[in-house]
Amino acid sequence: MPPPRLARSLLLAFVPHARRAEIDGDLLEGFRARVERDGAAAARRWYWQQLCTTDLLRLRALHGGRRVPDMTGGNGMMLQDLRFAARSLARSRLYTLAVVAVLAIGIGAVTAVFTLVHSVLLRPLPYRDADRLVMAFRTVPRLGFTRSTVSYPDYRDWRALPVFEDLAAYANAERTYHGPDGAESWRGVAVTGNLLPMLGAGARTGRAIVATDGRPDATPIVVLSHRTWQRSFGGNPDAIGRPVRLGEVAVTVIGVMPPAFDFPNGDLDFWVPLPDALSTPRDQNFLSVVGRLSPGVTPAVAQRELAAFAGRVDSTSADGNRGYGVFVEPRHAFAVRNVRSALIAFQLTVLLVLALACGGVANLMLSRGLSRRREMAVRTALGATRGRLLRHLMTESTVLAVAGGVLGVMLSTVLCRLVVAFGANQLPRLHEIRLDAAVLAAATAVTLLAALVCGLAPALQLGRTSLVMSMRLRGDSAVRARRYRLQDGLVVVQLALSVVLLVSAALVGRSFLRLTAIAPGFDPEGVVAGRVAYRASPQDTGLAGRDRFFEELTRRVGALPGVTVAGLTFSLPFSEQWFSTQMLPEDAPGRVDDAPAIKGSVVDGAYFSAIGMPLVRGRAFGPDDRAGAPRALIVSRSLAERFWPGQDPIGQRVRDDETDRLTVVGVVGDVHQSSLAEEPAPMYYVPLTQAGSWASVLFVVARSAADPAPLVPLIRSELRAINPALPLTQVATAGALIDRTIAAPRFRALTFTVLGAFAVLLAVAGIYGIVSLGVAERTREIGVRLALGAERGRVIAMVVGRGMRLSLAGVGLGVVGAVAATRTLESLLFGVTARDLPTFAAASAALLVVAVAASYLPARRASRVDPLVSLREG
Amino acid sequence: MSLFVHRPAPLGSLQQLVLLVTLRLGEDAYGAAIQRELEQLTGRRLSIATVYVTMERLEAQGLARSWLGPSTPERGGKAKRYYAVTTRGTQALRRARTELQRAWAGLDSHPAFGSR
Repeated sequence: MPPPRLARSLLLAFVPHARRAEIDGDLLEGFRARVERDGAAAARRWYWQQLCTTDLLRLRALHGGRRVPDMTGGNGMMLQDLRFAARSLARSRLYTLAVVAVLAIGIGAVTAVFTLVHSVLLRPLPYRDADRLVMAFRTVPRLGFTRSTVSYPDYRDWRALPVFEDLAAYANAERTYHGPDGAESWRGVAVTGNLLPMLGAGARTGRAIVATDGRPDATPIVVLSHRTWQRSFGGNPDAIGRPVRLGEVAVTVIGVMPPAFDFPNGDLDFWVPLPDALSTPRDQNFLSVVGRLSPGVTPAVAQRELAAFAGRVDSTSADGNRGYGVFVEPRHAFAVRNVRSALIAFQLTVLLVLALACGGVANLMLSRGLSRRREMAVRTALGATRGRLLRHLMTESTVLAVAGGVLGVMLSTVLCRLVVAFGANQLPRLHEIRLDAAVLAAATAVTLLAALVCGLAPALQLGRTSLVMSMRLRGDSAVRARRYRLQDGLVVVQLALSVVLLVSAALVGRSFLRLTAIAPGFDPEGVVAGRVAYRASPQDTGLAGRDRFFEELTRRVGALPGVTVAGLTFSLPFSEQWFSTQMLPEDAPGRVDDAPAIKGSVVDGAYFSAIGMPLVRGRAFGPDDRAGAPRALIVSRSLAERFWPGQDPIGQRVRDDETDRLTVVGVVGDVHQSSLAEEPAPMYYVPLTQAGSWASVLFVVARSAADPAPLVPLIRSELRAINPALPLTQVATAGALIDRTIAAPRFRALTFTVLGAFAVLLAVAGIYGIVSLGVAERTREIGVRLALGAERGRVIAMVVGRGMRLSLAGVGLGVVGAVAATRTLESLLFGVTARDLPTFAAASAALLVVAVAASYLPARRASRVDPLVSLREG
Repeated sequence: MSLFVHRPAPLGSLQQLVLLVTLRLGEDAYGAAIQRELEQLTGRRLSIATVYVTMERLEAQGLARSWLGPSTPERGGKAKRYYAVTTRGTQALRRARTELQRAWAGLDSHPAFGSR
């Protein structure tokens, strides 16, 4: 393994040319020895530590001194400027630290967020001609489906339309892999043979799926994801050509995709070919369709063509395709649909932070410039030209900006890693995130801009300084007033920006708190669940076999130590799996076919107590609800209220087609089914014993009196004891399920809080700085006032008053800005509006209080001025 | 015109260590080896830049000398800079040891160091 590239190039940039080769070699040798001895991480750390020494500069000076003996030439001048800048910066260490830290944080945050936005939103997808790739969906307005899957006959027909250069389809596939360590569940997709070639995706090893693989006579094959190849085959190339057992059949591994290949999403284990000629009917919709538009065709045109075609099929075909529409969406928009608004809000926020950082640095530099007027005047008097002084100042700010920029880029790599670590489930295209050349260029541009902005301000002031005035008149109020105006303006803008950030952070934070305060509708404490896909075995066939299997499973799991109750459900909260059925109260008018769809689940009698859902009325399912008995139904409270407002729902009947009736036997509480932010949807529940064979993939849910995590291996072994071929998948505690749904809001709240805190810190530092400076400049005046009998309280009021006026102006401006800016946040908010008055009031008040406190400190100092001392020294 | 008889500056402790390690390593004294040997002997983790700065100052004082060896493939084809201690270097070391020994003399029974 090579040493860290960035560290190496930085080192080599410092090391004098005459020693470059041998030091490079020494470091490589040392690095390799350490990799052997302490491991790669320790070796990389060691390599970085080699950078952290001033001896690098000394070494350079030892050689540089010999190489550039003449200090008066153009080169020497620059070197002299640099040395001078370094010396004067070293003298005021606190100031240097502050400027570099502020710049580093600003640039680091901007680079990190820009990297994210660039990787996720801006960079084209890593496929051939990615800009012409589109997704084609069926929509069912009646059921509220906007992106629904497509049937095979539809796909075949669409493919023949000329708007597409090529059209491919894929379907989710889950297979049980029987490896040496037992059965595990693999997730993959079945793809049409033209899909991978259309994307321009080749295999990393072996070959990818091609058109002929879908033929009926083709041998069954599988292509593995890089991750799965590493995990299950140790990355062994011999795996290619080997047969593996996937589900019921033996298939041959023909290739491994590159690690970055993630179509249609990450976390896949395999790709298999979809058979060419499927005989599935037009009402069996299971395909996702992706295509490349013909040159010149827009998604809107394609959508129109497809819709027209669908209309024709509608009127001519008899096989059930009534009332659907078509939606064509660019693949890129589809991939980022959930994060786009959040990322844009982030980007705007971070630009604000950068503006704040630049403002803060400018303010620091202005203050320093003011306090150095005398030095500048003396140097001018001694013959320094104005150009020389300007150059000196520019050199100083460039040194600061470069230091801040380098630290900022380092910080941003750390931040990016943090984002990748924390945001793993929230962001698409995550593995594509890396600092690339474009982002580095952007960061460099930002750095240079910051240097220019910050360096220019004092340089301009310097230009206006009259020599005599600077040396003699320190307290002249006319000169002072003009000079302060720029700084006052900066502080006001800083305060305004931090109000915007603080309000945004407070809104996002409150949304998060609101979200966590929501009761999910069940009791997650002590609950663990896992998914089992039942398959009939020779001794256990048919519906009775399924019921026996699941009954045995819950009996065994329920008997595990610590488990109080175990139940079964088709639809676990937040599992994104449920049935949708159209149903109506028995006596309601209209056809079931026109009724809205209700979400439903299949459960056993113990499920509600296992997950901790309250039974509001009636009873849970029992042994009487067996196959053949009258069909029983349990409804959620909100469904009961919708169907039978003000009536007792028990004993009511619903129809889910034109012949059959179900009788309500119980009412349970509402549950947040897909996310905490959405209102709980009305739900119905039917007993497993009365459900058809399609209900064979169920979650087993166990409630334990203690920590449920240690139960997982026990549940696995019980399952293995009943049927060793079935894996337990999607294992999670109920707490983890909830955590997962609030991870994204939590991440946002955290980020905004950090940014908001940073903004407030900057603003406070700004106001403290400018008020302190004002006090320092007016020491003499204050001394005179005190000598003439002014009360100390009045001096304090005078100084604080100035800070107060600035704060009020800044906060006022900020509130206006926040009203405009928080609108971009709207999609991220929950339970608060973008113009929530209490939030605005609290944020403004908090900032005012802090700002006044920040100006009180210098005011107190001013009131303690000793008139004698100040007059003598002034 | 100097009022003082010229005498080389006394060796710093790091300089002494580096010179001693260079002597120990003999024909195999180059940057990485010195760095490694120093760490193994004393536990001090010096950066490679520190080793080179120290060496170059010793060279400038005439206490050590260096030359570029042939390039070797196992370190990316990069040449090694070999160091050796000059006669003046060994003299300086000897002097430093004498100074230290004199200063230490008799202190073994001092309560701060004496064995109990």
